[in-house]
Amino acid sequence: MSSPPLLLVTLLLTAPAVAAPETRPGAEQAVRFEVVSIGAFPALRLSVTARWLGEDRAVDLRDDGVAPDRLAGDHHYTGELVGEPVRALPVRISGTADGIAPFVAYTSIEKVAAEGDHLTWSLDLGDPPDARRVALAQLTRSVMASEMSWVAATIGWANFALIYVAWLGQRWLRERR
Amino acid sequence: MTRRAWVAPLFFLALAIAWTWPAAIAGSDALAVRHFDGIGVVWMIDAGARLFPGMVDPLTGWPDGAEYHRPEQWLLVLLSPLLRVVSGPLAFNLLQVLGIAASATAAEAFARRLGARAPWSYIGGVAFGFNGIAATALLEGHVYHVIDPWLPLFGIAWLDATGPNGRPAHGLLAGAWFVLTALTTAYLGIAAGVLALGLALPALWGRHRARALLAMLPALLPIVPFAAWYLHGYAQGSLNAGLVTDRTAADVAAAVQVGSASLVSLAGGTPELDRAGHSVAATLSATVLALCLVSPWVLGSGARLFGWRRVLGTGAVALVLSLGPRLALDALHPTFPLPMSALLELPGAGYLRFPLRLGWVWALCGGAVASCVAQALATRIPATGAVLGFVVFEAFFIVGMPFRQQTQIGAVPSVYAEASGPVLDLYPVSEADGDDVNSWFKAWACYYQTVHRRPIADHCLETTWARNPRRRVSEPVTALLFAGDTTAVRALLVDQGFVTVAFHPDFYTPADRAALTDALTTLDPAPRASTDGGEHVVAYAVGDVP
Repeated sequence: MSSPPLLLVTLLLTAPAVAAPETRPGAEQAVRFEVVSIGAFPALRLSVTARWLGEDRAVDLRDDGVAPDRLAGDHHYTGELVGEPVRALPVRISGTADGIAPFVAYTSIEKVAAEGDHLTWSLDLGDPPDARRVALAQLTRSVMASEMSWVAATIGWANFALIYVAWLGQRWLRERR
Repeated sequence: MTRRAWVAPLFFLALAIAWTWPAAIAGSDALAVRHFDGIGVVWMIDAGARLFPGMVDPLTGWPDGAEYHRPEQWLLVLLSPLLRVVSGPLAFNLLQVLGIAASATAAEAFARRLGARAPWSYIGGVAFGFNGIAATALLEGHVYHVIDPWLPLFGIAWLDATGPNGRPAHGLLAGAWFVLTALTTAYLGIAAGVLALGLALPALWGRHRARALLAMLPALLPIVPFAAWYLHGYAQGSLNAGLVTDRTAADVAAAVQVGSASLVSLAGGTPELDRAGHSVAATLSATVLALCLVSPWVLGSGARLFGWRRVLGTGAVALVLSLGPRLALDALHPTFPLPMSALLELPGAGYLRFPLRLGWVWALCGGAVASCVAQALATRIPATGAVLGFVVFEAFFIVGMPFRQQTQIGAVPSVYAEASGPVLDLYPVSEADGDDVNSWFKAWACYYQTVHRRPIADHCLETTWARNPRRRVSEPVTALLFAGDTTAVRALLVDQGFVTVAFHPDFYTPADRAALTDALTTLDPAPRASTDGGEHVVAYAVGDVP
C-alpha cells in the first residue's frame, strides 16, 4: 500500500479513541441530572429521587457553581448519582419554592446509556409545576431554537457544498472551451 | 488480489471502525446501540438457528410458542449458526463494522463499474456505506440493514445484463444477488426492485431490446422460486398484521408518512430526534447531490460512461419515493402529494412502513454518478480533490456518527442462572400511547433469554404490547397478586407451565412494589435476587420443573 492511504488508515484507526464516547464495562456509572428552570424563583430547591438497583437514592440539584454544576445562578440545577451499572432508572423530580406548595414535577422511567448519561429537563413552575424531558440542558423554547439552528447549520453546509461544486463546474466548462 | 485491490477494503474498514465506534471494541460487555430494537436483534442472532426452517419457537410466547414466519432479517436467521460461534453481543457489534465496510467496498466497485476510478470511486463507497439511513440503522440496532454489499453487486450485474453486451450469465448472477438483497431485509429487496426496473426499462426501449431481454430473463431463475418460498412463509405468519388490517387507510398513510424521509430529516439528525424520534434521519450527502446536479453538463458528452443517465434517473425516482406519500417539512407537516400516495392504494402497500429505506437506491446511484462527475472535473480542476474530504466530513459531522451512538449493558442479571424452568418476566405496563418503555422491557426479557435459554412469555419480534403474548399471562397474574389471591396465581402459573416469576420491582410505584412483593413472598418466602446485569431482579419459584 502506498504511504498516503497507509497514513490515512492509521489516522482513522487511532482517531476514534480520542473522538468517540468511552465505554467502560464493569466500571461505575455516573448519571447526571440537570433541570433548567424558566425564570428565577426565590428559594427554589429541587431534588431527584431514583430507584437504583433496589435502593432509593436521592440527590439535591444545586445551582451553586460547585461541580457537577457549571455556573452559579444560571437556573441550571444539577446533581449526580454514581453506582453499579443500571439499564434504566425510575426518576422523580420534586421541589419547593417560596409561594409554591411542595410539588412533584416529573415521574417516569428513564433509560440510561451504559457509558453514563446526562438526563435533562426544562422546568415550568406554573400551576401545577411541570418538568419536561428535553435532549439538551436548555429551556423548551431554547431546545426548539437549538434544533432549528442545527438544521440551519446543515443547510448552510449544503449551500456551501453546492456553491463549491457549481464553481468547479463553471471553471471546468470554461477550461473545456 | 493485487496490493492496490486491498486499499479500498482497508480504507472502508478503517472508516467503518471509526464510524461505528465503539462497536469495534465493545466486545461482549456492551451493545453499541441507542434504541431497543438492537437488543431484539441480538435475540434473533441467537435464536435464528433454532427457528429455521419451521419458524416456530417453543421457547418464546410460552406456553403456546410463537411463530416467526415474517422476520425482517432472514439473513441473520440463516447466518445464526455461524454467528453463534461468538456471543450475541460480540456478533452484533462486529456485524456493524464488517457490514458497513463490505457495503461501502461493494458500492465503490459499483462506482467503478459505472466508469469512475480510485480515488473518485471512493465517493460512491462513502455515500452508500456512511449515510443517514445507515446511521439510523445502527442507532436503532437494525444491523442487518447495513450488511448489504448485495445491492451494489446486484447493480453491477444488472448493469451488465441490461447493457449492450449483456449475457444470460449476467442476468443469472443479478438474480442471485437480488435474492441475497431481499434476504437482508424485505425493504432492501423492494429497493433492489426499484433499481431493477429503473435500469431495465430504458434497455427494453432501446435498439438492443431483444438481446437485453435474453440477458435479463435468467434473473428469474433464482428469483421466482425464492419469491414463492418467501410469500408462502409470509402468508403463514401474522406478525404486525394489525398494523395494516386494524387501521384505516388514513391511519396507514399517516404511519407511512412518519416512516418517510422529510426535508428536515434529509438535512440531518438532531439531539431531540435521537431522544424522542428514534433517530430517523435519512441524511443526504449535499456534496453527492451537488455533483449529481452538475452531471448533465460534466458527463453530458461522456459517451464512454454507458448508463450513468439511467443510474441517476433511477436514484432520483427512489429518492422521491423515499419521501413517502406527501412532501413534508417534517413528519407532522405533510404538504402536497407525491407518487407514493398512489402506490399506497395497492393492496398490502401499507406494509411498506418505512419508505425512507428506498433511499438506499439514491445513496448507491447518486454516489456512483457523483464519483464519475468528480473524476471528470478533476481532469481539469485540481481543486476537485476537496470533495473527497467533503464526503468524509459529511459522514462524521453532518450524519453525526459515531457521536450520536450510545452503548447498552451487555451483562445479564445473574439471578436467571439460579432460577429454573419457564420464566414469566413481571414488568409494569405503560398505557401511554407511543411509550417505548414496554418495548424496552420486552427487549430485555428476550435478551436475557439468550443467556438463560429457558422459555419466556414474550414474542420477541412483536412491536406492540397489545399483541405480545406475555400480556395474556402477566395481566391476570398481576391482577390476582394485587387482590392477594395467591392460590389462584399459583394455579394459573402452574397451568401455564411457568416455574419462575422474574419480578422487576424497581419499575413499579412504591405502593405497587410493596403489594406485589408481599403477595409473591407468599408464593416463595425465600426468593433469589440479583442487582448485576443492570437490573434488580427477584426470582420467585412458583412451581416445579416439569
